[in-house]
Amino acid sequence: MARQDSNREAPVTRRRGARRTAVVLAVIAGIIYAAFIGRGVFGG
Amino acid sequence: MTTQTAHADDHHHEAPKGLARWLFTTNHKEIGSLYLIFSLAMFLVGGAMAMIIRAELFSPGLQLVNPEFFNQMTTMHALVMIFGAVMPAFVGLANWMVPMMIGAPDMALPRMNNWSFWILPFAFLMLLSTLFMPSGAPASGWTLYPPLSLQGGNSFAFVIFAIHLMGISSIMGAINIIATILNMRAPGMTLLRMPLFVWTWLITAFLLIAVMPVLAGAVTMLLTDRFFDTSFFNAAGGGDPVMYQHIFWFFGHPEVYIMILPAFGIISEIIPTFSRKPLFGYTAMVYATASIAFLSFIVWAHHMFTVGMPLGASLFFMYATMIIAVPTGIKVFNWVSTMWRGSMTFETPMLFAIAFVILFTIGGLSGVMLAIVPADFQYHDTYFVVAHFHYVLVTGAVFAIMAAAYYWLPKWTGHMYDERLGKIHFWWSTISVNVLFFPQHYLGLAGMPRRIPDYAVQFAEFNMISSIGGFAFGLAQLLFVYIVIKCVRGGEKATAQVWEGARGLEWTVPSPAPLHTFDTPPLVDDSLEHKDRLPS
Amino acid sequence: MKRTNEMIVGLAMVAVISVITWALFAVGDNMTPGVTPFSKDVYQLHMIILGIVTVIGVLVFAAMFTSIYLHRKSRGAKAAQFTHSTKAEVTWTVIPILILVVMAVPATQVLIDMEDTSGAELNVKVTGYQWLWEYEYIEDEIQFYSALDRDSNYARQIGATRDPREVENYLLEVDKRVVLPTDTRIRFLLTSNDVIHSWWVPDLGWKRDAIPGMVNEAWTLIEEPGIYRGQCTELCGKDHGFMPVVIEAVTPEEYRAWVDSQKAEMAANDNAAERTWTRDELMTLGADVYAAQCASCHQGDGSGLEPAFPALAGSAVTVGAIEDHIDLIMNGRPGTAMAGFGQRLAAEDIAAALTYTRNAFGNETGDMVQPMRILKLKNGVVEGGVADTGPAGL
Repeated sequence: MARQDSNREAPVTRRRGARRTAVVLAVIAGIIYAAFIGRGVFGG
Repeated sequence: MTTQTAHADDHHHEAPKGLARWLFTTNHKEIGSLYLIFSLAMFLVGGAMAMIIRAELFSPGLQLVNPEFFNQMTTMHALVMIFGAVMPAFVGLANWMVPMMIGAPDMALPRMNNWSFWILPFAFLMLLSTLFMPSGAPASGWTLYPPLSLQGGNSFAFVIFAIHLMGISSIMGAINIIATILNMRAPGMTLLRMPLFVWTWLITAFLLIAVMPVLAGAVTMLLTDRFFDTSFFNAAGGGDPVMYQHIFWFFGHPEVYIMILPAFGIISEIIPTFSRKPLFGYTAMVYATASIAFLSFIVWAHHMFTVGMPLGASLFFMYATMIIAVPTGIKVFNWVSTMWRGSMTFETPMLFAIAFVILFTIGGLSGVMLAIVPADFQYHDTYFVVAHFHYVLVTGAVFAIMAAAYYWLPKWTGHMYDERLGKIHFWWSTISVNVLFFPQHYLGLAGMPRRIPDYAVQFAEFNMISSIGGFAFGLAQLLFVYIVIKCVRGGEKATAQVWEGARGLEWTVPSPAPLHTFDTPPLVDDSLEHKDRLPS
Repeated sequence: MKRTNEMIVGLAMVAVISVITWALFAVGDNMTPGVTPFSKDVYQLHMIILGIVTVIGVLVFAAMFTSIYLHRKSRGAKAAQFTHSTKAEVTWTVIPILILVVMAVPATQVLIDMEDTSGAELNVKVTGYQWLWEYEYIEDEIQFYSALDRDSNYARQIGATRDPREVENYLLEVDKRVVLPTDTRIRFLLTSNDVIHSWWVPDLGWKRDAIPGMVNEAWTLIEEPGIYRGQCTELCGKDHGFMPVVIEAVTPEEYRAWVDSQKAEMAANDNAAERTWTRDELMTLGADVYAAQCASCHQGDGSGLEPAFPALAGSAVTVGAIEDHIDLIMNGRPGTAMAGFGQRLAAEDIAAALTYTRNAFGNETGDMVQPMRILKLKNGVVEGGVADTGPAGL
């Protein structure tokens, strides 16, 4: 890796928390996407 | 006040130089700069398209472009300005400022941050390349309503893929901002101590995550309808073209607030600074922002009052839309109260902020008029609507971005911009933008539909005035580019605080802000709390 | 003292901003009051709301400019330090809500009136096509198309030698107007054959979308005879700007006379398809049909607009096998903007257009298509129930 993240000194717990937040949000986005396609498939 | 000296970045390896530096950067400031430069470039591209539109509309008759190309221009102008100029500009500002405002060393997910940005140039390369394809760029308006959008040629697939990429970029950017704000705040930086800009972005990011997948879903169904024989929106195959409009505007209306809430945040930073007085009604501002975000989900059908909705639905969407005026009004009243009995000076950022409050309010008031369903039957899809949304997006969102650029340029570059040129840019832009858009109210009321390449002779005078304003406004933005370049290259040295009345963590680090700030979190206490920001 | 100053400057600001606002209203155009009970209601509603938002705007801007004038550092203003006031927040939450209620009441009343389409004395079905309108008078059994008139169509082309300013009602005139009786409750049924259009005549006070696969309703009652002009207001492709709506409102007696004349004309044409036509007749009618139905895409000289709209001059279709040409005109080409005209036009119109395109623009095939041939095909098409579904029907 060319350079280090400048937040490497952030406490490990905070970084773990950030990742968990990100995963939860990404899953929510995926569910919404699927829900609206589903609305199209079944809603007609 | 807790002072935080950002120490020299002696602890990381030799940074790559040249292009690689920018391609591989994970630094929030560098990525912020990339976003802002990209946004400025797209602003000029979208602006050039607007110039073509206004040139064709300069007088009755078709002089320059054929109607098909005209439609491509209106469509691409909107897509480029919304997804290429305004949204990336706000993400760029968030990248630069949010970590510095909350005392974080960087964004929570720096590598994803890099990816979020670098998707964009490719997405827009793909979108713009359709202009050179045999079947041409999309010409069905940025809303891509079927069945019209499905008449496009194979280039339509590129458009949809580009929109998907933009959506992925936005969602990743939004996830990053939320993760940063929720997890990376400095000790003592409680939620209700966060600057308003951070608050508005937190709420905006949630909106993005909620609605960008909806847009992705809508265009995916367009893709399968166009290329894979499905009939989601094809009446002949049992589909429903109006359903697309419902889904699109379920994305589209929150999208409108995605483009204005961060602007509210910027204005809420700038007005207190130059009034030398704390923001009035901080908590009310936070709650008003949250209310607007919530309401944005239940007003989508006010974009489609003319499709023939049941009476009950029309009434519901009318009332819900009118209610948005309340939290928006609270914001305007609070800004005026912040200025009231302050000690104001009028540097360029403040001038743009004041123009924002006035002109955005005009756009908001015409928005209230548009909410009234029976009257909307007359206003809908006329130039009245065009005037309305350009008042909220150009003199709203874009003016706020301009204000932010002037406000934070000294922090980014370490130099003061040329104040005299800044003021010229402001007055030139503000006068020309009103010459450009105010007559469009008249045109709409007199009966000129939007998205037409040619018009009846009775609309000639106001179109000509509007075009002249448009050319002048376009020219003014070249001056802005010059001012920014001049400021990057040199100028009077800026102090850490830059502005006499500026308060907040970002003003405690030197100017230009070093590559790494707040490696050790600062301790935040009441002296920085927004509500009680006292001039020292 | 401070308060007195603020009052005086504030009043002055109200005065100045009011004058500016008045000037802005004076120089500009306003919405038309129109000629129907609705359009008048809508106009009044518009004026009420405009008045309210103008007063709000003037007061807010006056407060702001008062502050900008008085509370500036260069005048030696010292910043006060107040940060919030619950009383103020409650006030400027409650008052706007009350104002909104005042607006919502008349808006709701007008909307409820507009939605009631019952009791119609005359039903007119309006169908949008790219890029013209079809009108069907359901009771009187009259049907016709209404497209941009020739003068406008000529002047609107790039490089046209004719100045639009010299064309009367440029872009707001059609080849055949919609004649409607005054003082009659008329119901419109709106739909579309291809993409979404929107039918709007400002003087009637509303617009309504014409959507494929859906029928929208709206009604009107025109109070004054006259000619009322409007346009399509939903982007519907390249000639969206060129499909006007023109209504000619006449007294009920004159309307009856018009209906009779239309019926007489139709009767004269009734068996037109069954007789044998001469080449000249076909070519003359064909030129008219071509101008109204085909020229907007394929251009007046048959040169087309590549790549979307192929040239007809010397094309494989127009000089190729006649069966293929007929099939294309009757059924359209799916996945393109080429619609099928089998149901849309009369047999003699199709035959004439075919004859014309096979012999114009240098296409000297010498072919002639008799209306009878198309009529037979048409009957087949109708029995088979093959409706053209437009380009969306992939």
